[in-house]
Amino acid sequence: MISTIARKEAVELWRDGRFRWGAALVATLLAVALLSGWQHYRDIEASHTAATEATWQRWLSQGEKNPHSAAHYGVYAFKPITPLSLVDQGVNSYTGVFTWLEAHNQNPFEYRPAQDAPALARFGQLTASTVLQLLVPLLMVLLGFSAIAAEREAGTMRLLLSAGVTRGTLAAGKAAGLALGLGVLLVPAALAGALALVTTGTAAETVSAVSSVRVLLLGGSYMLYFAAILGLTLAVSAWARTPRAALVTLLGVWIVNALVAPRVATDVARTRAPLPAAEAFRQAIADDLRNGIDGHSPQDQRQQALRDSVLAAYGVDSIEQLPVNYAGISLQAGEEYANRVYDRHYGALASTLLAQEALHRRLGLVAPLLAVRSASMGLAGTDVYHHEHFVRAAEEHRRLIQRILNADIAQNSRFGETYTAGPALWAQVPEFTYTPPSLATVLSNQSSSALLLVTWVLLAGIAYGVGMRRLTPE
Amino acid sequence: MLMRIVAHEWRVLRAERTLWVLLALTVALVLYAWRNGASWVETQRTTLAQVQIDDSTRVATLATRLDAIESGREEPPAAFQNPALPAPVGRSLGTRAAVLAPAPLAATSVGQGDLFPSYAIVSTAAGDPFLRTPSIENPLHLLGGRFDLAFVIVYLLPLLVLATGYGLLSQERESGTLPLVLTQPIGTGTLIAGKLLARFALLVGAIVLTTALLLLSAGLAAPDHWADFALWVLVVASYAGFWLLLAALVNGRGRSSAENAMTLATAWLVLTILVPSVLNVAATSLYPVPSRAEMIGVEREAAEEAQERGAALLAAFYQDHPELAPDSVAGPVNFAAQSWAVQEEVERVTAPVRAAYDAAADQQRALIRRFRFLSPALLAQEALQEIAGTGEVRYRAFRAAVGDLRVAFRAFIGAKIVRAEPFRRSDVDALPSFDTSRVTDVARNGRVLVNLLGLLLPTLLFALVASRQDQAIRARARA
Amino acid sequence: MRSTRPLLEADALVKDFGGHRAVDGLSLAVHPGEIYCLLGPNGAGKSTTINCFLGFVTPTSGSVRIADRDVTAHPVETKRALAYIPEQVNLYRNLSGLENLAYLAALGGAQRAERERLRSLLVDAGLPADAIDRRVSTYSKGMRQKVAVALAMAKQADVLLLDEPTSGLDPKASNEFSDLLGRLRERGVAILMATHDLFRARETGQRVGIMKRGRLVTELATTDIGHAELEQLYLQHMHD
Repeated sequence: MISTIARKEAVELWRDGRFRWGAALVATLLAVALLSGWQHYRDIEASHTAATEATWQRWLSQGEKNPHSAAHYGVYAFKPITPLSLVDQGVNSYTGVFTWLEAHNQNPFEYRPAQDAPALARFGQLTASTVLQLLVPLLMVLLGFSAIAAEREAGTMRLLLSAGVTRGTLAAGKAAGLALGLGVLLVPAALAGALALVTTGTAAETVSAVSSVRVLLLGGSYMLYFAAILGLTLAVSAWARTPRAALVTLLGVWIVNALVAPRVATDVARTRAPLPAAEAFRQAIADDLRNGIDGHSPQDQRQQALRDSVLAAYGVDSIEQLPVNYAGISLQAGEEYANRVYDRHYGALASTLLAQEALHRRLGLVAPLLAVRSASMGLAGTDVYHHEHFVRAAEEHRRLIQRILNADIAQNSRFGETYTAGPALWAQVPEFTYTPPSLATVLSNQSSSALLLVTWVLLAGIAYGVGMRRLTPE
Repeated sequence: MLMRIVAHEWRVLRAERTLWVLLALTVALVLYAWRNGASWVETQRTTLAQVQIDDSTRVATLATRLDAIESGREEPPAAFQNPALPAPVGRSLGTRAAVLAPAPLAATSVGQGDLFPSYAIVSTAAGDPFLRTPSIENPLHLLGGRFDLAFVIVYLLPLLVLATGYGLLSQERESGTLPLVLTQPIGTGTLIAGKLLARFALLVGAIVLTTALLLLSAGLAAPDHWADFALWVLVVASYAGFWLLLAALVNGRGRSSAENAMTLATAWLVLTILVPSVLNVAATSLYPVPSRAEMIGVEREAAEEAQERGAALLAAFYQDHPELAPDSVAGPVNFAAQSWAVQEEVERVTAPVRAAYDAAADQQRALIRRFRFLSPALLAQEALQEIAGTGEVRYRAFRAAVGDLRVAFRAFIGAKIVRAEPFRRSDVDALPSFDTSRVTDVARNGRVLVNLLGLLLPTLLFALVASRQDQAIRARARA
Repeated sequence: MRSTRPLLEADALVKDFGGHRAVDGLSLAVHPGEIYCLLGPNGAGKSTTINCFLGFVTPTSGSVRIADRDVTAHPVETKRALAYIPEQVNLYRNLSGLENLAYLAALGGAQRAERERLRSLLVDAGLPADAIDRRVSTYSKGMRQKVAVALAMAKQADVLLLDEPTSGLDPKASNEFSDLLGRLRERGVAILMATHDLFRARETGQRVGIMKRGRLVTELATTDIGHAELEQLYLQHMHD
């Protein structure tokens, strides 16, 4: 019985010119979005791989110089692009793409691609995620608002119910029919996306088991989202007095979900977890470096204390008598003190950014879009968490470089002598290889968004069920 | 007659309680958006004030220290932080701030202001100070955009218009009142005009009045600020007019209210979301801006090459600028001058690469400028940002002015470095500083007017078509 | 014959909807102070004829004229002389009867100051005094119809078009309505009424026309014929 109703609904949908136009439009946009996402992925992947290789070669071939001068020369860390960014570019356009790993300073990430983009880009990028998060729900609303309400208005509901169809069967049949219609649209798109992903997989890891699990989870999140929207649409259609009222209500819901909620979430996050101003942030770091983290240990005092403790440890009277080069020790001590300052400030910054992101995710309770957006960016590896993870990894690498070079100065040179090292030392520094966060970490981050999506599906389902139960035929 | 229809429409809306809900919603949206925009401007002002204080403190400290050194009261410190040498002054001790003050109506649109800095510190360092000014903002928030007045107008106002206008005639037909109305001796044009006017006055009136009161309370006083506001009102009114006339046009086709709502929702989607994003994809695919990652390679390579040829470069430099050559060429190698010559060479070599980024971005913009008339949302957004002083053009002008200051600053410091001259107390006052008038934009009103025309022309066209629908409307007067 | 010019005039009126001919060469004229009843089964073309006079339907050929003006050429002017009472009078449900009347009369050119006159017209039309300021959503069908009659009186319309006005009214309301029409007729109004009600048509009207498949098959004066004869004639035509 359910399948009979579902088939009738799907056929009716398919014969509706609106559905065919809407489906064609959404499918075309999805294809264009995937194609341009793919092109963008390839360009950035190629350019960042080349730049990473070039900066490494330049490091190796910098010739004879003092290790500290090499530390100042430094290397650059370029943020790699994840394959799934072809589905969801997330915050990629709004985060810097590289940072300079040099001595003494944790440098900010530079050049947000959005700064090179036209202002128009702020209207929203056409990515597969936009199509899936905004347009497909709108299509569902436009196609489904009348599912129940119109039968009531046209009087066919009376016929159906008098023919002995139970409300439960009718409810399930309607839902299955709409889902079937949308499946016709989305399944080919999903396959096309998966195909694009496989063909981009020049690198072996692209099609690795992990990323196919990610693809499945990504698909699953969107399915939950669509189920929630479908449930909401049918629920409103069952509760509304007229199809017109159903449509207007649903459009209102769509606007709040798609347009208003993300912006209000931004306002909430900004107020609940405010970020420091750039100038104040820079100044605070400079102050801590100059006057000490406690504010009472200025740089010269710290240096004096270090010198005293080193001399005492080696039991000598002057730095010239040390068996190691004091310059190396002093440089490394300076690095470590600075690292504490950076950990304090950049650490606080990162945790505020992540707290803001978590707030956005939790507000998924108010608008399912926020939950699915979080899950989508998280699985695609394009959220703030992934960016901060890379920032941290790059910084760790910077510190590693300093440790190796300063140790070399301390061990292999004498205080005051002119010392140079060569390619052998440069090669001792490991090449920067980045390991993205594990799937397990991503999943634990996103467990709340999954939970919220499931909650939405259940709530919508209940609202639909209750709406059908209290339905009067006219 | 028109006013009678308007009054009647209000009465009907009030009886349905739609009137108060609509007014309250509109005013609430405006207030919320204004609060957001105003707090943004406030933060902006605080930051800029601090930057300016820092700038004058920096210059004053420099002057005091030079006084002390020149009068022999203070021993000059180590070379890299000696204020009496031009290189440290150019690097950090005498850097100059360039500041872009918020425009009078800045609180109405955050625009590009969250993405671009409104100040830059100009030094002799490599790179564009505008692009390299660090800013701290959650990228998630940049992605989502702000809930400012421009958002309310560009995205939500059309929806409010459509919510009140989708059943302009169809609702009367469905409730059966249309036949009685159309058997009165008035043209359908007058009837529609009255209905439109009622909604227009309600929505635009609420927005404009609330905003005007907010501006007053924020202390907006100068007449040219009110001229900006008048322009803003024109943009809002034309944009609302566009959507109202579109609703009228769709209603004239005689379909049901639900169908009209669907058609209008689709039109909204296409015009405010799809056209801009498809245009964006087209622009970025046709003229891709390469990743800035590539720039780093070029810069480093140029720097190494230049360093190797350091001495030769300096010699060539003196050959090109004999006036800058120091009086005695003999003596130790002038490392500062040599490093300056290297920097200049790197600037020269990398200039075309940096220009390539801007050229691609310019091509994108040119394409968008041509096709922006396809989306009234785009036209309105751009115009509102221009009026608020947070548009692309103003930030580009600021960036160019910062670039000019950098050139002047580098020339001033560079001349001293290569001449191996000290930096004197008397040079402090001659340090180039930022000229705010470089960012004044005389062509702005012209550009806003073009966008206004872009909004008004289709509106007039719709009005023309709608006024010829009389026969069709009468023929479908009955449900 | 008659000395006055007819106020309502259809001349060789034809209206096609797609392939279907709803009105086929109809000619009729209604004079001042005359009630003309159009009889006929469902689908005979009565409503289409009325709609042609209202300008809701554009004739395929032929012409419809009100007070010597072509309806198609002068959609607005011809409305000045006209009042219309549909089968189902629908009004703005959330406004009172008086507010409805005031608005519609204003569209017809009435002045704002005429409120008291409109109120008395509603009373004249038979609307209970306590209902005048109540919301229309509480009105019965007959009460809404009285608002429409009051509107016709307010406009001082010369022409009244009615489409099945008495269907769904109880006998008392129906009788009151006929009396109202009689009063309007006495003031010289020309009334064209489409109806199924043979009895009411003979009682109220001066002339009846019987339509079948878009044609006017018979036209006769009610004074010439009894009720039984009219019914017989009607049925006879229907069986042909």
